[in-house]
Amino acid sequence: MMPEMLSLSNSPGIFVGVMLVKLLAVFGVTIFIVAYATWWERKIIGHMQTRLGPMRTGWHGLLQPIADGLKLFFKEDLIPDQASKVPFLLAPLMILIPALITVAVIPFGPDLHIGNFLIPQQITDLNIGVLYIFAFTGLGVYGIVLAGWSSNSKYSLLGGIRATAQMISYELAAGLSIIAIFMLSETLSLREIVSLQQQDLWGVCSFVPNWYIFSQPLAFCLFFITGLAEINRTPFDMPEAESELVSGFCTEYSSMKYALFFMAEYANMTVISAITVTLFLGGWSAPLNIAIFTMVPGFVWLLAKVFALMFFIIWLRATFPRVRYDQLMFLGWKVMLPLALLNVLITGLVVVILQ
Amino acid sequence: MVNLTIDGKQITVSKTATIYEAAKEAGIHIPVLCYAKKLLPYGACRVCLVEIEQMKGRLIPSCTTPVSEGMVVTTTSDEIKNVRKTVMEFLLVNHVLDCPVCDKGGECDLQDLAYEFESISNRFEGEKFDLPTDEVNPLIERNMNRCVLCGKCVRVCDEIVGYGSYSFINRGFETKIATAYDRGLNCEFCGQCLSMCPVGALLPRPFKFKARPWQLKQVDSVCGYCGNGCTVTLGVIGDKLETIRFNDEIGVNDGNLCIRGRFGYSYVNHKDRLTKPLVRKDGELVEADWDEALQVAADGLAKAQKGQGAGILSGARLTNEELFMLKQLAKTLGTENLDHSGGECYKGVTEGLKETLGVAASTATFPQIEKADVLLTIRSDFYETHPVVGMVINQAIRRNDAQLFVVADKRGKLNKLPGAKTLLSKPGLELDVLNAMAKVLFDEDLAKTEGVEGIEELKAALADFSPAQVAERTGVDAEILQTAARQLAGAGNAAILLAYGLPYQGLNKELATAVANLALLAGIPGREGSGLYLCGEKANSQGAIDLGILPHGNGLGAQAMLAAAAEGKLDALYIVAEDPLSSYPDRDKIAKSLQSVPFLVVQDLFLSPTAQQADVVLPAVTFAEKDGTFTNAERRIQRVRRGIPSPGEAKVDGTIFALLAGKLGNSLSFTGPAAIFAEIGKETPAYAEFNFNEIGPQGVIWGGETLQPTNRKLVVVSGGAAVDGDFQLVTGSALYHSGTVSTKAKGPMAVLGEAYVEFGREDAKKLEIVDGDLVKVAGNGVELKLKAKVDSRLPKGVLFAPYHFAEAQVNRLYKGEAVIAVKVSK
Amino acid sequence: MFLEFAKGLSITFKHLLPGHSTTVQYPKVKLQMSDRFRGLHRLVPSQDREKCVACYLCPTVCPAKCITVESAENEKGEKYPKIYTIDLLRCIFCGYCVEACPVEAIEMTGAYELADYNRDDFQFTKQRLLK
Repeated sequence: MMPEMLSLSNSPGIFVGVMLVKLLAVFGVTIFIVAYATWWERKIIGHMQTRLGPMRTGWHGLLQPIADGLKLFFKEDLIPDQASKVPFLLAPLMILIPALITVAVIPFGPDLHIGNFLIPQQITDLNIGVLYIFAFTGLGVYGIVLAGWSSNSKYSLLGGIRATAQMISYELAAGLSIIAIFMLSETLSLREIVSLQQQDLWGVCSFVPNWYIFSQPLAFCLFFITGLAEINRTPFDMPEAESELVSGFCTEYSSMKYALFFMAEYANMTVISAITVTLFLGGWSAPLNIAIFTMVPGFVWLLAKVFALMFFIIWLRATFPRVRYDQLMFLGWKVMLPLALLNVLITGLVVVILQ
Repeated sequence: MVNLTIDGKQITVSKTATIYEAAKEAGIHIPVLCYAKKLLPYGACRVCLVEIEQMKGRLIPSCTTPVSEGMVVTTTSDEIKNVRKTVMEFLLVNHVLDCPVCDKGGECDLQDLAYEFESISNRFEGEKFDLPTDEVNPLIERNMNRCVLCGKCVRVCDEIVGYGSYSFINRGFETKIATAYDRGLNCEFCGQCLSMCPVGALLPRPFKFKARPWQLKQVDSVCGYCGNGCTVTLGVIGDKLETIRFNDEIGVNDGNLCIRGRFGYSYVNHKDRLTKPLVRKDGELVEADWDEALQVAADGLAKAQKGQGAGILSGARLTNEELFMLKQLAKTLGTENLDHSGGECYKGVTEGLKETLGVAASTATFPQIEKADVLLTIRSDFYETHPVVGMVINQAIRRNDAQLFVVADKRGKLNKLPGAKTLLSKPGLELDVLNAMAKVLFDEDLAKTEGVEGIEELKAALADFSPAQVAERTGVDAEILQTAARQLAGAGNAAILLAYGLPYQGLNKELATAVANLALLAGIPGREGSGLYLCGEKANSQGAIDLGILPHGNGLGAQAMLAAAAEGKLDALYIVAEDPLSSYPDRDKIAKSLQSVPFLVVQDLFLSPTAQQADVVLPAVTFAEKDGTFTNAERRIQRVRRGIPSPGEAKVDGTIFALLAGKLGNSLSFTGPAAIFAEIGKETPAYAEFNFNEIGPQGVIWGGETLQPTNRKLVVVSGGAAVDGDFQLVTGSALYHSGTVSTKAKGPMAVLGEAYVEFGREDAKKLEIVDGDLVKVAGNGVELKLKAKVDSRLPKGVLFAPYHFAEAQVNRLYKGEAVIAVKVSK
Repeated sequence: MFLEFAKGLSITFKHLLPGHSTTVQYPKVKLQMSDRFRGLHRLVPSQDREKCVACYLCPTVCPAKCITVESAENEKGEKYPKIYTIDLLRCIFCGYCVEACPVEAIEMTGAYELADYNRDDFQFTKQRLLK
């Protein structure tokens, strides 16, 4: 009997049960990654700067995220007198929730055969997955702008304004850069994009998978860089810019609300890594089509790749200084955007010629 | 004038200048160690060597070489530097490296020179001195290990002080400065040597290890003791007056000070200072707040004024501004009973001089004394009352070969000065000597009679005063008397000096008149370079006279007030800065007056015997705690500056007067001493030309350097009367003290701590008295027990007792006469 | 440009490798202070007294004006500091006092753990400084 895709229509009870398990697992893992990403970042940056990073809470500071969380939890929760209260309260949520929600469309393994149901290792497989991602990452900026504006503080406002401009400038290039992928894949479903990448490289090399990074290296670079800009990571952390804006949009925040901003930053980092991995690095699939590799569960590969990318992002932060604002704009509009367009053009030509 | 070139700079200086002085005038620095402005050139240290074009081949000490026309001097060259550095090395061979523990460190000339020449090593080796320090006396520490043999102390003690404590002894490397027989220092402790010493060989013991010179806050002010008006620099640490420093660059009297000025400051810090007002309640003096005390005082005085009247008695150590305020207070109170300093002792000035010369002040300034050819001082005590003028007299003798004549009843320091001639008379007969001198001038036709009134009357009155007669009466040498008169009349510049004060009350008006007669006949008053000096005992005696702290109209004088009080005819007395019970003549009478007066207010520094009798005691402050001006005995108005805050709640006298006047219904509000000084000018025209803020370090002199008499009138003075009796007692001032306040100061008390009666050797031998014996001195119906002191300065039959010590009650014997007949028994 | 990026990345990566950390795990691990380290002052004692002769050079040279000295004479007639106090709250540890001292009576130790709970405890009197 052909296994059937588990859905709400064919087995509502099991579906809901399985969905809850998947939701909890994904959410739990994401939150865990977010928490430990802070420890990891501090450790890595520490060592890169010939320091040690956290050492005191637990073995090599392993309990540091928990300590930080507790500390922030017990801090006084200040709301400035002049702040617009409701947006001020909403803003942190508006940043964190879009960041977390995006994880829903990331596939983390092949479909599972359980009984006679096929269970996709993905919370939901939207046929417009990529659009969904862009929609929600685009929403994230509202949180920043709102936080900046509602704080009613000049540093916060400047941070917010910078974030807006930065988002608009880079979203464009980011969106254009991955159009090339869709031109190759001819689908927007991430599940299918991943499965397409499991094929042989260009149909010839049997043990190397057909990851899009090989056919679209420029798109990969563009997407990764613009992605950094979108999640406000160094060297594009203009909205925060401690040295200029004293933490920018989150200057006035304290306690758990401040913690939410922090979580959002690391959640964003995780998400952008996950998306990049899914779009360019074969998602959950093994790097080589060899038995030993393919035997390893898909989510392990996914996490490994995500961690690798996150390491790279942290590495960048430890290495490069923040770009100047005019340099940021120059890069976004005069380098990234033309390059992305060029990439689309070339990809289009190649696709037409090959057909 | 002489033209010369120093370091390429053309300079014109007076021909008496040395190269060093010329260079200094031209602003060229030559290092010196043994040079001092006020001493004669000496050339001991060889640090000031310079090169002179005309005397090539050797280096010339600039501080001893006079300038000559066309001289070309080089003050710095490599050779000179090398030689100077070598000299420094020589000086440092035996000099102990004591700087960290030496109090001179920081203002040490040797240290400065070592720094200037970068003397960090020495090519010569020698043993460091290891001589014992002389700490026998309580005031001056001598550490000869630090001495550089510049000889400044030797010279200042000889040239200026005229005491001659020090001399060089031994030879070669063994040379050192020592006292006679190399014993502990025992001198008059004026401390000039301290201020001269360029290194830490001579240091003030009271200030030992107290502080570094740079930590001191230095305030230039005027000494609060006698009428010399020497500039003193208060050395203040925190809020405490810790030392007195000298100022020989710009100060008055060349920075010279006496023991009182230099070491007599500690009464300012005395623990017995009054800090709160006291009011008598149920027979006890209890502490009260200012408002209450002032109210009680004001009510009492106002009530007395409505009754039989109130009187105000002031001291002469208040500033001019305060005296002015006091006068205004008296006006507010409505009393004319206002007087100062016992009311009698200054009459020589206010009456004697006023009648003869028409002015009530000395006619010349102290620096002119140094230029005098002939000097006449009345009483040898002049040195004791005014030591620093005494030093000027010494300089006149040493530098100007002046001839000094001393008319005195006892010998003293002045008589020991080189060439001094003494007209030793019996006590109370100085008048006769002066009259006889006047007669000599008439007889030998030396008298300058132009424009002088009253010649015939005086001539007639002097019939009995021929030198021979006077010599017989008084015991002076007739020949010296004649010489003195002749020289006085013939001198280019002459000075006559007489001191007045509480212990010299007897015959003071007559003496002043006789002196003025003599001065007029010798043409002294008003002549440039000559002067007649009547010097007050207290810091502002002259100011009190200038401001008219005297009875006016129907007002009672001090003695009259006290008499009225004794008879119950005065209802209140307000005594400011005086302790009549301790210092005024006739203590018994004063005690009766103070007991009889119904209401007594005393304003003073200490709870003096007088203050103990008071109904209200108001705590006042010392000279170091107030701003204002003093007028010294040469009419010099000088700024007194506040160096330290007042102790406790004590207030400046002027403020107390203003507050008291306020309580009496007239607020005397002035914005400070400057405003009051301007106000003084309105009442005392002589002061009108000066602006308080423009009074410089040398002060200003009202009436000019030479005060022109407005009157030249001879007034007949009869002779004195000798008293009968085996012994004749005179009172006076001892060198180490001034008034009664110095008995609260550690320095003077360490040298002279108690009252005594002084005997000549002859008398002592006859009475078999030795130093320290207790003797009974009886006279004027009073018998006192005093410690005896045997000395060689008193002639036979004359005794001397200083008046400073309240507990000795010498003023019970002394009732204001010039001389007291006493009996002495063991 | 890319080469420079790579260079930068390689430098940071090199530091990431074990053995590059310079951090000392204070207070578990403490470094040996250099001899010239300027920590808490110490008054040097001689046989029966402090070496200090109260020459006032240290309070004079002190730029923070944190040294209070009051000199006095002892029984042997020597100058000694009756009071010698350093206000550590004002001290800037410049070491000028050590340099100024003509008798080498004051030195600076390696002690740097000087925190305390009470302002008064920062007044280092002669007795404390002599320890």
